[in-house]
Amino acid sequence: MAETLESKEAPVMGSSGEADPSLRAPFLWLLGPAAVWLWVATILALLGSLKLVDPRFLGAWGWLTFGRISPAAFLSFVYGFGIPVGLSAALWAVTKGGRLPLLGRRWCLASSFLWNVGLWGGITGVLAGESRSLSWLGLPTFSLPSLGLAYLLLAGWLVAALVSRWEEASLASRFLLLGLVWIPWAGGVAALMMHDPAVRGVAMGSLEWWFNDGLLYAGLGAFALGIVYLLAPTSLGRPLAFSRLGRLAFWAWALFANLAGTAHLVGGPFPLWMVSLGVSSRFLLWVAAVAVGVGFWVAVRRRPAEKRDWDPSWHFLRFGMSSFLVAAGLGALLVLPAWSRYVHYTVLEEAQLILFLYGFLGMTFFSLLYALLPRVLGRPWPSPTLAKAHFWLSSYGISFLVGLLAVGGLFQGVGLDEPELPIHEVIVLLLPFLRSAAAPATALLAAHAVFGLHLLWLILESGASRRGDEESALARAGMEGVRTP
Amino acid sequence: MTEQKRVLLGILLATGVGWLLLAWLPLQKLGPASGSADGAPFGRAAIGGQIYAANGCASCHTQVVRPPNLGSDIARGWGARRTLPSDYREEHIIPLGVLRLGPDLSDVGERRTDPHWYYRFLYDPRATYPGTVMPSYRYLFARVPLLGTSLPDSLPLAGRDAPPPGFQVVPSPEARALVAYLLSLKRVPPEEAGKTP
Repeated sequence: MAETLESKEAPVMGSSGEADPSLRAPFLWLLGPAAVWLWVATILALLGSLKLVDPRFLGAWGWLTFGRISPAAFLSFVYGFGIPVGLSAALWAVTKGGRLPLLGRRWCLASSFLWNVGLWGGITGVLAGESRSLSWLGLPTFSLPSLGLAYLLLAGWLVAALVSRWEEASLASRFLLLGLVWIPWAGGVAALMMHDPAVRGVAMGSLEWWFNDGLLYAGLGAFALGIVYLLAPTSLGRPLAFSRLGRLAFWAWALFANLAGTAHLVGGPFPLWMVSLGVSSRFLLWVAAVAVGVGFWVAVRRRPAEKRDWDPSWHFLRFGMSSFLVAAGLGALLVLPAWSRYVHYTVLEEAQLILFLYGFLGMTFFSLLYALLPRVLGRPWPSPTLAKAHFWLSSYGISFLVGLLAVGGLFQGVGLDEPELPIHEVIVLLLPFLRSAAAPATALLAAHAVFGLHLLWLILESGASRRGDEESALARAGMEGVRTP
Repeated sequence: MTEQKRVLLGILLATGVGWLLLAWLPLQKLGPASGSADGAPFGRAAIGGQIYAANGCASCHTQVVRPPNLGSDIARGWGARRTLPSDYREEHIIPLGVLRLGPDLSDVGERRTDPHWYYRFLYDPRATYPGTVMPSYRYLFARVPLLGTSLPDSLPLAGRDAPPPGFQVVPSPEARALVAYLLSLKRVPPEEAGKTP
């Protein structure tokens, strides 16, 4: 009975065994810079948080003004950390968990190089004041050709490989394919329209929000859901339950993630049908999220008892899925006109965004990294204590940050709705929450620093053991050479 | 057609539906009426719009007046009526904003008409509103030697903010452009003021 309910996800990660050595360099080229971008994003976010504590902090430098570092932090996280990890998940899937050799390895390296050069230029441009303040479309024009070419070099190959090595029953492949295809499709169109001077008027606003929500849900969200399906057979010991429901959820996700963006435009200068489409799509995305969540929790309940020891990948995955369900639910409820009156343009919406970005995407991506890197590098993570410290600092950091912003946002919303209360007094109501948020932001920075050090340790150990293996192999060869004659 | 091709086609179509409904259709129905750019900010105000965007002002300020049933924007005096698509008809950068850590600026040019107020405020927001979270934009100002009398736009600074003797603080071209942009923000035409459709 149980088997008929489960998806037929093939376990791409064996419980043991090293990945093909040809995969080491591509993964390190993708994930090494991603870890650096994660630090950059966190440091910028912490600086932004400190500037809300005291706006005069580093106030003489235009490069570090709040309006520049805040988008730079989000852009670094999404483009520097999120997309490379999503591409790594697809690479892991098409090589069947590192068991198949990688063709087109040089493309992968060239892509990573171009991507990081373009992104360094782009983030520097945002800090230098070259952004057009278009949220996820905020990277300066000059960085886009390099980023576009880099993405196409790798994603084009990955799409071809995913399609040619297609597994009928795999929901992971479907979600990963959605992420791989959506980003260049929508990003290319949005960039072209944004740079066409004939495109003017509020259509630019709806274009921006179509891309913003699409990137989060159909791009990165699809990568993260692909990772959930990919990891379930090894982390949970079985695939997610209710495969048919999962397929329906996939199609709902693919369609409504493209239509949900206009939910941000409640009360804005747009026709009612556009806003209603966005609001109803947010609700249907929540339904799809619940469908995936039910499959996940049913699989968790049937998880074999011997799997219940402390496994970092599993803990990050569980936190990620919990955040996913809460963030999707909040995303649907906050845009209802009755609530939107109080919560629109407040930090409660920021709380929902942070829960989705750091709670769902970030934690699910870490889950993949904890499962994948030991196999790629051929060594286990050196310190379970550091992995635990990373998890607990992240989970407390995210929970308190989201909680403080959510409660502060309610105060802000009620204050904003009171016309007699001047705006600066509304912000005074909010200040204790904004200032307290610096503490969990520091915890997140510490968590990411711990992860970075742990990763560095793993890479160094793996390099040392490789050298040791090579030396012993040479010594053996030499001995054999002596014996042979 | 194989299953993988069907899935790929479905993804492309779903994305296409989103683009059609939320990008192409609004451009046809809500975009500019003609190829001309009449009505868009021009000259110094247009440059100021770019400076507004580059400094991330939309991170804390919106430019959307919501209708009375969806907020107190009109009661607060942020606009005489809700923002309409025609208010943005000819603009290429649409700074609708994401967060309100400061007031809505759709009609700020109607509420504050003195450029010197803006210069003083941008230089040190806390001198006007103690405790505000708005950062100082001192990097948009320059300290220049005082030759004879003060320049007309020099800032009347005292105390900790006062420049050394023999110097004065004046707005840079970027600050002048930004203030020109803010003064141009009068999205509700005067003949419509007071009407609420």
